[in-house]
Amino acid sequence: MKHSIVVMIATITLGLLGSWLCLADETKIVWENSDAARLVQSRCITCHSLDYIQMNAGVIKGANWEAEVNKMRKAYGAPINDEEAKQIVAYLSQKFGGE
Amino acid sequence: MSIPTYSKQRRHVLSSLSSIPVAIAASDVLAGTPYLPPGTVASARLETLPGKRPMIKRSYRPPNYETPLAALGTEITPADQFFVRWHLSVIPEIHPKDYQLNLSSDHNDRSLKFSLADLQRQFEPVEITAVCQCSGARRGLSDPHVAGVEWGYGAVSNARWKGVRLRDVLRHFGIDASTIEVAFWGEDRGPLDVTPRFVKSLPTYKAMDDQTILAFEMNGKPIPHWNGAPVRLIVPGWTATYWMKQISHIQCLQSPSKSFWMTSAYRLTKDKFPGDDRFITQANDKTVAVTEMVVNSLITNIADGQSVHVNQPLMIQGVAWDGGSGIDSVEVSVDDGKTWQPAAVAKAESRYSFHCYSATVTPQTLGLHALRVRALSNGGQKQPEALVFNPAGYHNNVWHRVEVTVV
Repeated sequence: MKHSIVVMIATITLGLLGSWLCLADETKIVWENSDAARLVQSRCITCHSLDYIQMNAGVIKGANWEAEVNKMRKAYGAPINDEEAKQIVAYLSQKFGGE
Repeated sequence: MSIPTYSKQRRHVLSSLSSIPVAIAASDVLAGTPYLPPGTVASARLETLPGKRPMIKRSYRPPNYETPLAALGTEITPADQFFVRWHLSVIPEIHPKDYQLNLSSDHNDRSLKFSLADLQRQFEPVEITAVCQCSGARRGLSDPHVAGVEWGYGAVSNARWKGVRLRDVLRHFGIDASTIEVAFWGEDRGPLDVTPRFVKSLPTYKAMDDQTILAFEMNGKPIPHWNGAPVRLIVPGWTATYWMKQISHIQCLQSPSKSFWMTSAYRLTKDKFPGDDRFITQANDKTVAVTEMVVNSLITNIADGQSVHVNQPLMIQGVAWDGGSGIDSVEVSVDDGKTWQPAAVAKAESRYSFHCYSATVTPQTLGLHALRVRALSNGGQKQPEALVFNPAGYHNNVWHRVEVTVV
């Protein structure tokens, strides 16, 4: 991991005024700074913190991340297009699909 | 089933009689559940939500926090340590004065609204003590591991609930004979409008059960925000997926709910667990909806990795519960389940409650020992030695195992 940055969630979610959002200490999650990592951040954190991914590291193996990304798109309506989905699946499979 | 290796990071020597609760450090609370996936262990934190004491964070948003094992040793779980589980991350803070419950039907024009004060004024108050347990409790201990919120032992809690009978409210509304299910909406939502709302349904017989209540108090105080204030559904004996938080809309259905959360999530393979007949309008050829909790138990006063003294009495304490028949007996083992001895089981506040047990054993040989516990329900259900594997990781009630070193 060349660089790591602190993921800033607040700017994305503060538009949802009047709601009690559980930001807690989510901003402490450290994440890689690369094009693919930023794409994952920008698409996934709309709905959930990145620890959902970390928690399942190695549980969802390799290319099985595709099924998970598809579930997010189809069941939950995540705004991810086909090309982005490919990049996200490739990144998650490589970084979080290990044994 | 193989048991993965687990590196022992700490050793405690208990004071001569370990019936005194042992203070456990933050690192121990997090490390106290062996066999979790490495990524789960690495991302767990001891964190404090507003109004709560420190709990084990599995995910920040939606908030999923489990109760530390040591906090589950009493019949009633303190409200500020009651586990927290949400599917959707936008969780409004609803003032009791603003709360509104809407009732409707999918087969007639009837509708009715209640404020919280209406509910409290118009219906008889009732109280019940009942265990609330996530269907996926202990998912993180599934072997092989399965995807999802990787819960350890703490996605379960017990509380005294006060509210009004759902049955009374439904009768007042005018529930009719063609209602086969009753559906419930919570106020939590996804940040995107396209994300399906969290909607669950109950078969009419369960909705009309006199133990199923709309609760506004937990342990004598208003329900905490994180546990579903101002009003949540209490479905004693059934897993927490039906215990709708921030319940805002109830609808009488004449055809089965098609909610994603009924038809796709919370499904079990048929013929694997008891209770397949509990919700027949949501069953299909291959799967059924998860419903009743299976019998289960925990050792709560001894953490995995502790050291204990040879030839000295060791008190093993914890709780046992089931889907509502009550607990017949509890047994403990100091030799990894080869031999068992009976525990004393205290009288519980209700058959849906935690049943506290205790047993005194005297380890007589040095070295590693695995303590185990198992319960038998009044309904004749036993806990299995080996996991009944299912791809969503539900109903894990394998004998709890705690490794100690006898020194």
